[in-house]
Amino acid sequence: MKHYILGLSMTAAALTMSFSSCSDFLNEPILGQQDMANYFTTEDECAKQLIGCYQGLACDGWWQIYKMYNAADMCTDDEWMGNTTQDPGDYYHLAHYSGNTIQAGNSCQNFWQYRYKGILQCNIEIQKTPNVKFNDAALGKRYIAEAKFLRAFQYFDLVKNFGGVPLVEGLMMPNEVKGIERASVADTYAFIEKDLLEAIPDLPLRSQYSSADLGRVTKGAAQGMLAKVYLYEQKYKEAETQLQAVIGSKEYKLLDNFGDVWSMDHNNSEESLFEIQTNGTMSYSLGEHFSVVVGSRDDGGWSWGLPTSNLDQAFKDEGDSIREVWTILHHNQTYVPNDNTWTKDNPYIITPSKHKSARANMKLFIPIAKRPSPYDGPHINLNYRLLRYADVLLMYAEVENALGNDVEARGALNTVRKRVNLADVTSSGTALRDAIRKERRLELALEDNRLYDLRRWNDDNGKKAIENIMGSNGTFVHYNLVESTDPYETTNQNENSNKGYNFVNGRDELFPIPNSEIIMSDGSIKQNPGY
Amino acid sequence: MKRYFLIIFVSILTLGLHAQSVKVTGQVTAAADKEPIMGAYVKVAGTKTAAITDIDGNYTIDADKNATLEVSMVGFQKASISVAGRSAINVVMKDDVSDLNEVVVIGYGSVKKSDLTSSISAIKGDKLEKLSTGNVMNALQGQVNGVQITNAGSPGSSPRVIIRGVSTINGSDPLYVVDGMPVGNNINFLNQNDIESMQVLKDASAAAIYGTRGSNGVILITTKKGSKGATKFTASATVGLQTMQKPDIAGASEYEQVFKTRYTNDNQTAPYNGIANITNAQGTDWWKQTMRDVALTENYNFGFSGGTDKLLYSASIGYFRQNSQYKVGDWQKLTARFSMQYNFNKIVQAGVDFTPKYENWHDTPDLIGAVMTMDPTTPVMRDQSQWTSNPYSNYARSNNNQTLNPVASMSRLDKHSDEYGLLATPWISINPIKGLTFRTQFGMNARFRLSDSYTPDFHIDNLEQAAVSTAQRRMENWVDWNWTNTLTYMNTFNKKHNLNLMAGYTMERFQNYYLDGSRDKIPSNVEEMRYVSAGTDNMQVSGTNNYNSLVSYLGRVMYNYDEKYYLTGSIRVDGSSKFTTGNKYATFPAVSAAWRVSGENFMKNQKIFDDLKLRLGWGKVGNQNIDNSAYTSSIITNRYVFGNQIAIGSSVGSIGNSSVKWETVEDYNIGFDMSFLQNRLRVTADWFTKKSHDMLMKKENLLVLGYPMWNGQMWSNIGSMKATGWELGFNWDDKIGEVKYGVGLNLSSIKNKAVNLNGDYLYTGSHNGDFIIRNEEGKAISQFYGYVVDGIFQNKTEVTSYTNEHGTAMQPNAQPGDFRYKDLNHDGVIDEKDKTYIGNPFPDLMLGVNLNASYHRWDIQAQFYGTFGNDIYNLNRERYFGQNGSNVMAGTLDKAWHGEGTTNEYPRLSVNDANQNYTRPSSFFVENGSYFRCKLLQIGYTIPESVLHLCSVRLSLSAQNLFTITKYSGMDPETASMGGVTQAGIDWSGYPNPRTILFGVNVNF
Repeated sequence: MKHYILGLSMTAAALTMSFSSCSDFLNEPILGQQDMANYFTTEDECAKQLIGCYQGLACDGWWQIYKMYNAADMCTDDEWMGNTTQDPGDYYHLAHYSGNTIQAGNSCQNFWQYRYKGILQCNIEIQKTPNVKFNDAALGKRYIAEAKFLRAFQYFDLVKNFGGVPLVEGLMMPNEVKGIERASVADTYAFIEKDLLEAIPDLPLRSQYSSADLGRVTKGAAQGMLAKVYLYEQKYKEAETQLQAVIGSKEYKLLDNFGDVWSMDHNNSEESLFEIQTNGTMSYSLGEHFSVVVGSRDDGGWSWGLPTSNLDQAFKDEGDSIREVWTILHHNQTYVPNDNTWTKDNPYIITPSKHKSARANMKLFIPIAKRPSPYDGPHINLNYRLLRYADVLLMYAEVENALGNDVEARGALNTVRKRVNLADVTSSGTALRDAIRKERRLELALEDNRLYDLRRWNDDNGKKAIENIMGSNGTFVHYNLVESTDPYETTNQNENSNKGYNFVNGRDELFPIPNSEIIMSDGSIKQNPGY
Repeated sequence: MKRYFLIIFVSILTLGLHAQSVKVTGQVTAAADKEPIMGAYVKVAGTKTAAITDIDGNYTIDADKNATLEVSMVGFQKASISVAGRSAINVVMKDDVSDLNEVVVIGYGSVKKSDLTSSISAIKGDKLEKLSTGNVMNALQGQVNGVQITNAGSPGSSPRVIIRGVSTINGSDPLYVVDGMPVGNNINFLNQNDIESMQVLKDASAAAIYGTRGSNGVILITTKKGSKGATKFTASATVGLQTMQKPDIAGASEYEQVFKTRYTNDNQTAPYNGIANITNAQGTDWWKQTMRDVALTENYNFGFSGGTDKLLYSASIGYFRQNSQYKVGDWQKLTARFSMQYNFNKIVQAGVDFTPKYENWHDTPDLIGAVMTMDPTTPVMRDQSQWTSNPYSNYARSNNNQTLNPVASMSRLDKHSDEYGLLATPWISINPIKGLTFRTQFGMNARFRLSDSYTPDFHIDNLEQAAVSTAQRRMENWVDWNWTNTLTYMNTFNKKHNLNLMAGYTMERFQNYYLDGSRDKIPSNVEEMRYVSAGTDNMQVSGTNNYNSLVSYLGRVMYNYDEKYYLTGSIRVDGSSKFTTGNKYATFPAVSAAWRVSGENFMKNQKIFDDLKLRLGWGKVGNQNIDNSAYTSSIITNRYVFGNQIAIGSSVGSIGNSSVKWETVEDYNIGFDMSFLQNRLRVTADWFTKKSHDMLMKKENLLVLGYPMWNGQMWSNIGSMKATGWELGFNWDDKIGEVKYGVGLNLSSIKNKAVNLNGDYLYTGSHNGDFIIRNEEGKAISQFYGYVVDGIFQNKTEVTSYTNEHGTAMQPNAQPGDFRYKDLNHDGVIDEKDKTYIGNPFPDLMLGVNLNASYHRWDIQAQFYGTFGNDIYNLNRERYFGQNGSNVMAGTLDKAWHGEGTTNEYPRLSVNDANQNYTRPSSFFVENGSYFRCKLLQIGYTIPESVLHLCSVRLSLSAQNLFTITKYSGMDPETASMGGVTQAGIDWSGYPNPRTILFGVNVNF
């Protein structure tokens, strides 16, 4: 009987305990990280999320983002893939226009994914910040403006590569994007314009930021970016307004020395409107790694993305020795500016058998003394320049020429030329237009501009510029297959000199949408024509 | 009525008369009906003297006065009688119904096997001991009907277990319950020699008592306990040698030709880096450089058990080791078990089981893919003149492709773990009045794992290097506890009403703790420095706790009338911390019934069935196998730079799905249990259908959503799925003369269908920017989906004439030698819409065959397992393309199309692959994955006790995975069929099951 009571009382105890405590027992919060449900209640949390939005620009030196910037230049007459000792993998299908939709789309898939990841973080900042009370209301508005710029910038990165893309403006659940379609190119641009136009009034001028905030989005950056957006749409008048505002703000000027433009000693210089910020700490991946990717194999690099002799020749034809030496490194060069490691006895080596053109990218070259150890990692403290004042001036020149104001156009153009000791251009009309286009190539070479310029420029024969240089009759293809006497490029056929031969008009003016995305959408997202 | 038996004539052996021997005569009768038994085998123990009973059950035999007679007959329990000087001995044999009287554990209780109303398969531990393996589920393959077990050859890896087909997309692992303690979905820690029995709860009417975790079925494991009697000792040792077949990959000269041909076929110059010092056409044999010819496996066990009225005890210790077929990698485990039960009096009993373990493993590399793609013209090491002081830098870089040197990768691999664990289940049971039992058990499953990994710095090439070394250590604890309380009442009223009631309450908590730290730049790669403390840079640390908890209320009523009519009903209410308020609780009911037809009066006069039982069952089970944080969106820390200073920020690190809820599986089962021919033939047949609702899956989503999770994966309830199938089991036991034998045959077939996917398609098996698998409403699940290859264009005319009605070329990028794809929707273009279902990874039929026979001291076992009608998406067929300069299968140059009429199967070699022969998923890659494998062939010999006094010794020689009959061209159709249920049947070149030859010794004393 004693045991009977014991048994019953234990059961009773068990049941009592269970009923009284199980609602607590079943509440298991996630430890060690914050829950979004309790976040976005303070100014500080909005400030932090905004930092997260900036982080999305390069995602801690994520190589796939820089890879796309690199591949875009490889798709032009400025660069080869370059590495001739390794299978080029992904690069090949883009740079050589193989027409393989799936593989070319795969090359872009990660970039696509990470741009949308960045956009979501901006969307959340834009959605959440207005609900938080700021002591200084202007600060809250500025945060939203910064996030809108970053969102616009990333959509711009998408539209210029892929054409119109699906527009996602907030945090959505999967069923809310069912059947989503690509916006038209015009609508995508309209979305970008709206973000930038809304951001501009709330953004401070560069000079209004404290030095601790250097690197944040400025009014000038937003105006400059918007001008570029307008220019890509050939909205010259609207572009002019924005460019004049940037120029008129007197916030920016060209650096005296062209060689300083891509020097890590001149990060965030007066010439700079917007840069991906870097830091060389070993503890985090906050630096860039692009310099290693494009570097000579003989100098610790991977040699993906090497300048062409065609570009080299363009500098020579122009007598542009200053920019040539600051843009292209040559095999056996005995003098490398800013780096006295290289001498007559110890010349810089870019072994021709390993490198298509035996040339390398000087803009991203890091002098030996400035390299972090280890060098091969995302720790290089060179900010990646996304928009600089020389670009603004050349856009202005292009806009004014298009609007018929050739005097204004020549003024801006010649300001840029003056820095590198080149004579003033005196032509006008179409000749001036061509001079400005050439100047853009020389000034902004290897800076992820050329491909999009070639895609947007209309030539006199009614074709896009890229259609005239690529394809079986393209000038660049003809140059390489017939005219070129470059001793390196003509002999090293491990990357075929016929790059661009397979270019197809009507298809290769855009990259393909990643195939997985088309399938996942059950076809509501459509592929670009020709693929 | 007389009993008739098959007459088996065996000559009576006599060894001549001894002075002490007597002639013994007598009759053998059956206990149940008192009828004489003909053909019974009477033997003098320890001698070869034996006799067979005649038609009236009589026998005559010469035996020593002190000898013991052993009488045996199929269908009866063996009898032993001391002669004790008698000359007339009549023997009464009891029916051997042990199989039916066997007690089967059913979850929070047990019943006689004959009283089962649900679909439960039981298997005895001795059947599992024959195979030497690290995970007992490997031994269960082919032994239990409806359970598809797919072995993953490599050391320490768990097999994939699918019970009764795929009804849920979110993992297929069943719940394992060891001695009443749910231990999750991995039982690597358990020594198979410690297992007394295993029960597989296959249908929901059985598994519903496990509620939330029963959707994939439940496997109950009972470990060996002591029994009353003298202490018994057992010891065994097994040593095995594993071998693996080398795949037929091309040598250096063929590789070079294939590499160049890909370019020349597209009018390109090949960027081929010729190497001067290749001395033989084969080049480097990367397989031989990374693999052992023979890998060792060892298994040793020792145990004892016994007991008195008061105390029952058993203890064992076991050691298992398996080396990987690679030159590095192994797994060893040391397990022990102590089981004790103390009976205070008739009312109170208490006991405790302790299962401590120690495991240690050095990670097995995953390099078969690299071995197969690596450039064979590259030597293992670079020229000695280029060697540096860092040995990891002295390996050669691939001359022509991006594959990392597999020998170098293997040399750098230094990841090892130690795991200590203790499973303890103390319990107390109180029987205050007859039939009423209160039992409480507090189980604890604690594990501690220490994992170290070290990656040295090295520089083979700018693209194959690590500039800094890293040392990492992770310490992780799991402490799960489970408190189970049950109150059971069993009684029989009026001799015919049998009642069994159970009510229970359980609480469970799963607790995980970890600390992870690493540092870079260790000054030296020597062994003594490979610790985190030696690092000089980039200190990183992380750690947190993860919890989830479960509360359950259970109840069950089992009733039967006269062991003829059975009815069982159970209910479980589960509450889980993994779901949001409002979705936390769910109820899982079940009902089952059975009718023993053979117990009816109208069946009394029939002679066909010895037993016939019909079972019906229905039940609901659930699935909560999702991340603890599935419904929460988390904020994570990240960094950016302003003013060249690091700014600490945050971002949304995961997006939760706040509407995620329980998945439930509902199933119906009809089954028959039958036995014929004096119980020599037993047949079990089941038909079932089960349907899952609100299936949980970590589903990939559109990238445009921008989710921070990889490929946008989010836990979602994605729809419902249905599995329908049947199972048929035959067991035949008999003897021919002195040869006893048994044949077991298991057949099962399951069809899986996606019923509702919320109107979506579900794509999985991501490869090359496309998906190999698509699920569609109303279709079989996880089928391969792609283009249908209609041969190869043999000439220009065939390409140009493949046009649509407007005369437009359907494959404008094609050339002779490329695949012709079928325009399935007849719209005149080859595009996404021409994909169709091109293969099914799940078999039509699974077959297990178990054979055993014994003759005197010899015994033989054979186990076979096969699947039929399943397809494999063989990615190894990419090895006929040489994509990105990778190596190819031997004979590619000849096999690939190289002119009209050369082949209609393998396309031309091409670098551009503008026709996308290689990147599009297509029927080219689909192969028949059916196979039939001899899993075990074992011959044993028991040394007579007269030779070795007091102990019996059995020697055995066995072969595991001895041979496989298959048309599949990849390395192993079994591992190729692996993969989660949504990615099944894609051959990613995993570690194949090795062939193992083992020698074993078992000693009992």
